[in-house]
Amino acid sequence: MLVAIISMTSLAVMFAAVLAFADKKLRVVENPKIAEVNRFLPHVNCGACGYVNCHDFAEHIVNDGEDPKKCRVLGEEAREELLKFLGEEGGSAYPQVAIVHCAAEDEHKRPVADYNGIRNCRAANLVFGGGMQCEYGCMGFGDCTEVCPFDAIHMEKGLPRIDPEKCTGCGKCVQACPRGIIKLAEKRYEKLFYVACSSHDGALRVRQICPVGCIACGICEKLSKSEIFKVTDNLAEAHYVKEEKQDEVKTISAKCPTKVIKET
Amino acid sequence: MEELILILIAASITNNFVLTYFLGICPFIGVSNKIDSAIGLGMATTFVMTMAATVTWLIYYYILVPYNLVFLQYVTFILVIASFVQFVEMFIRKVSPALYKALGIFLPLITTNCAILGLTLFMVLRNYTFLESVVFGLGAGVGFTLALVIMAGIREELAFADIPEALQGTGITLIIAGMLALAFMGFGGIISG
Repeated sequence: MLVAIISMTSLAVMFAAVLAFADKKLRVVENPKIAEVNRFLPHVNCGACGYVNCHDFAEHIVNDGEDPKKCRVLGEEAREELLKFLGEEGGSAYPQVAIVHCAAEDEHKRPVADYNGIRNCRAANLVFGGGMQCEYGCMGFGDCTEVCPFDAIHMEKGLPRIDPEKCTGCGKCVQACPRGIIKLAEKRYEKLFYVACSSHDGALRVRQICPVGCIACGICEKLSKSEIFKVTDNLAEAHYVKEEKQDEVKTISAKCPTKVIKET
Repeated sequence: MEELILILIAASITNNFVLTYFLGICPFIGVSNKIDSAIGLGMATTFVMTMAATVTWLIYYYILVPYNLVFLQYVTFILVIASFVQFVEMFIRKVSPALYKALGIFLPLITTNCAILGLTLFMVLRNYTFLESVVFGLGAGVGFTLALVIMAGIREELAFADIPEALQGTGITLIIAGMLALAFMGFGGIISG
């Protein structure tokens, strides 16, 4: 009996020591907020939210902005506390809004061939971009409209229009777009200026295939004293890190030769 | 030497743990969606099996048998297995977070994978020597990986097949598992392991 107890205990202690050592060496430092959020969750690991366990769910709440209300077990009070915690600390301070970085409507798009395949962007993108000249622009099959859970995207003249009132910045359309044209931006002001083009093609080619593309002339970059615009890899990009410079942007956008700087 | 090779082949193919003993079916069905994660779990299980066979043999013959503690074998074996699984979990989490995510709950569930406890018990039943045990563990792990990867390969192709609605998902997987088992039983009798 005594031997049994001693041998089992010593074995257990030995393994514990090895694991403790391994834990020191192999520890993964994770976002402390995940543990905080995890504290609010019920720890029953029921999986009703669609994740493996509560910890996994907490990770998705923090990293991917998953909806905490998906937890069905959480009581009313606990949920409110969690939401309060997330509301004060979580996410970015400004609401996000999706922006389409392409301005080519049907009349602007130049075809190379007739596309008769499956009518969605993902399929078309695999087959020479659905017969469009521009490899970066919107193909207009509306994959983004289908995934939008808030009915905020509608196709108009072959281009998705995002209703900024309805858009919650969930980012589903960002993932759905095979060409990465839709991006999320912080909605710091009532109207956002943005460069409605995603093409990294050179000026000559853009001129040939699209009347509304960014030709990377650099005028906006030269005119913006506070470095709001920056041209990299043949494409201008708008940065909103500075303070409000709406007037400056307005004068710059008026000077843009292809009028590719637009507002939401 | 010949003996060792026979044990290796027997454990991995003719007496495959998954497809002839029907041990460890849970991860076999659960993680055989993608070849990548199947290989990952296979490697993890192989490591745990080999190490568990090695360490349990040492503990069994140098602690349990001399002190008449054989009745504690289940507890001891589970302790060893659980420790190694914990170690593997930490290791994978550090080295490949993507694999860690893909395996999800099945990684800690290796602990309760009956193939591993079965392995250690077989090892005792068959009176394997130390070297034989290590090879047996390795062979069993390779066999588990093999079964898992074959299944994952078939299931990846299955995505393009027109399966009757009632059989989609786990249903067709179990049917395929049965056919695979039949195929592997064809090896039976070539080597007795």
